[in-house]
Amino acid sequence: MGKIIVIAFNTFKEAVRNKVLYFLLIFAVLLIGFSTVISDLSIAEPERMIKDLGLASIDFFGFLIAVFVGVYLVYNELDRKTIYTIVSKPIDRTQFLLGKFFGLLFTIYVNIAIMTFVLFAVLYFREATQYDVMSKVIWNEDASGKYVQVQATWLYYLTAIGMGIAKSLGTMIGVYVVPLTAGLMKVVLMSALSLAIITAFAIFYSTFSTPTLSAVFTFLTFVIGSLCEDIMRFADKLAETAGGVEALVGPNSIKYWFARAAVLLVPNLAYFDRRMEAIYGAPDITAAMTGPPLLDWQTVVYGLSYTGAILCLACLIFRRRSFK
Amino acid sequence: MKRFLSGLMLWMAFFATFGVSVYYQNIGSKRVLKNAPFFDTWQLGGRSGEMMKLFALRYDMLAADFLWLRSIQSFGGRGMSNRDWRPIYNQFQTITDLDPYFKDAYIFGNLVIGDEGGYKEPGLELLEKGTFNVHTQYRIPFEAMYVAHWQMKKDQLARWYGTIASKRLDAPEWITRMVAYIDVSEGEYYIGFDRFVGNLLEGVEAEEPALQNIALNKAADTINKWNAATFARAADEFTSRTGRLPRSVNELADMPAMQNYETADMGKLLASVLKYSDAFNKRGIGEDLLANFVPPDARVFAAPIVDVQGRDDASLPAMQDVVFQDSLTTVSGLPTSPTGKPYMINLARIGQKEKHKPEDIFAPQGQLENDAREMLAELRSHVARRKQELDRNPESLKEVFYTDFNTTEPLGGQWQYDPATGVVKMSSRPSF
Repeated sequence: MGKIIVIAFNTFKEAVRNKVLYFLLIFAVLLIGFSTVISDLSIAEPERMIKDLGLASIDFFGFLIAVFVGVYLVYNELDRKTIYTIVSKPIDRTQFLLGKFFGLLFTIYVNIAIMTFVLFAVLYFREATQYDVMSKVIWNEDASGKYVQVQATWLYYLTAIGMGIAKSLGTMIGVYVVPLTAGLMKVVLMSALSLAIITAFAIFYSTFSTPTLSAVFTFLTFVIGSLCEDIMRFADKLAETAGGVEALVGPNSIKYWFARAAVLLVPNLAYFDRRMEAIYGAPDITAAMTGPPLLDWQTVVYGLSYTGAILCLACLIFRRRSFK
Repeated sequence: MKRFLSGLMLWMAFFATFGVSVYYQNIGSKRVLKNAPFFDTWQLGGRSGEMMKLFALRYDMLAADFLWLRSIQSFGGRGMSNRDWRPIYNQFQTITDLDPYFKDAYIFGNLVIGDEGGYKEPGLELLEKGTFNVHTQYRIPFEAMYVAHWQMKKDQLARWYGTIASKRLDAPEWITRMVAYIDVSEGEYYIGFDRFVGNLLEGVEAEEPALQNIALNKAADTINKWNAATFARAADEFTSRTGRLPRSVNELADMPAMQNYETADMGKLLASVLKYSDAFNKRGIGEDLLANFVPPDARVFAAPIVDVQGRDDASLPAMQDVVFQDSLTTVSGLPTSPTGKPYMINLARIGQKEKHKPEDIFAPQGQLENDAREMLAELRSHVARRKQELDRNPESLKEVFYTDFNTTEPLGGQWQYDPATGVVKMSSRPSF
């Protein structure tokens, strides 16, 4: 375990030196910050815009970091021949790979934490700087009925920033819960879990292919994983049109079984998507359905087991890999 | 020097080739615009929700947000003037396919297409989609009710949406009153009256005089409309038998439509409500409110009370069915109005039945007098305006209206005009 932690820590140090990571992080943070400007263009539900854009940014940029950093982790070790110095030491290849995985995952989670913090801070800052909220604090009606400024505007903004930071941290550790950000931490945590699967896939592909191919494979896994439901319905529709699975023949039969296999083998990333639930609240969206595909605890078990399975597969391949 | 020249040549080559390509691109663009597209996609984010849903890769809500912002900008820029409604309709369909719970997209979509564009049907289609997608909130079916009733004049449809809205978890209590109003305007007096009885009982249960006042007035209005509809049927029968219009409601009392017909009775309603409010130890209806209507019917007080204490749902609103049944009455002859004043025929309108609703022709005396006062005030203002133009009193009403003014007064008789004083008076109510 100690060896895995050491490798993970080194992987983290290596990853944070990667400029791609910073570009992605800065872009994501700017996008989340800019969401407050975009939300002002909407005539209704401006907070929803910020939440949607923020949560999607956290998820998607987390995915990009997993792909662009993940696919190079093993490749760089091989390319620079540094793998020889590691495998010549009493470190198992499995430990090496797991260390790499956890190091990258930790990097991604630190990034997610930063993005989440910015999202919450933006939401709280925006709430505090709404005209009606601000004017009540800055202006006061005196005895003659005139409005006098009782606080400097810059001081109010400074306080709002400070409060936004404090509230954001409070929300992240679960001590400050308000309707504005209710349910958002759950969305982020579920996204983090789905990114563990994506990271495992990125590492898995990189154990036997080049970085470019690994990136393509990981991206396709993400696409199929995101469209699982549609692929499932496509397969169902094929069978229904033919009059049952038994009636399927020729290319349609191949399409059907390929779709079924894809849906069965590729992770269904939609299970981890709790954005709609957070924005609208569970009663609004679940009452119309028979129930969510998986309950929260089932989703966690699913995510962990899937990640574990892919890592096992990656380790199995990596153990047999020749470094020549 | 050689480097400078080669650089210069490269720049020249760039501008030459780029210039040619931009030139041809411009020619091509003009040709594109000349051809009508199969589908007007210039302002769409996607051809359909299905396609966009695939491309959105689970970021459906984000895609919906951007299309939403785009639709706002698009509408804000041009409005709906000189615009085909279909692209923007498709855009809202796409937005709501991507995010079926986007309440404001349905409402704004209808505003753009239905209210602003004048295409009520597609606007209502969006609202109908929202009614079933956003299934816990009243707002969208309420908007649909508004469109169907006030804009499309389809009251049956409006009642349907209204009923859905009133059953939603967040529906305010006034929704039921609005639905009842539509029920009554659609001639569904039983349903409308029943709902107002429910409102009244809620007002008594909550001991809220304001709510009681609204419900009582609405119930009274419903009874008047109900009775007016019966009078209208009787008036048709009278005209077909005698070949002339009725001059007073008394002439209608023997018509078949006015034999053994069912209506609601305000006195019975008040008595029943008071009886059961007493059983539930509630304050009942205030004396000031009761004074506006006929006295409570003593027969209802005398009737045995339905046992309320043994019921699981024992509460005043739960007695709605009992109070409703108590309030119904079978009448032969002229009905009693809620205020106790006799019904009268507006003789100025009886000859124009196609123009006026039955309740504007057959109304209780007080209401009819108010109508007459309004008409008199209107006449006097016309005379005053003409007097200002002529700088003297008009010689006759013909000089005011440019035609022989022989309209009958609402309460019978002919309008009297005195050229010496310039005053118009009613022969039937000289004191007005």
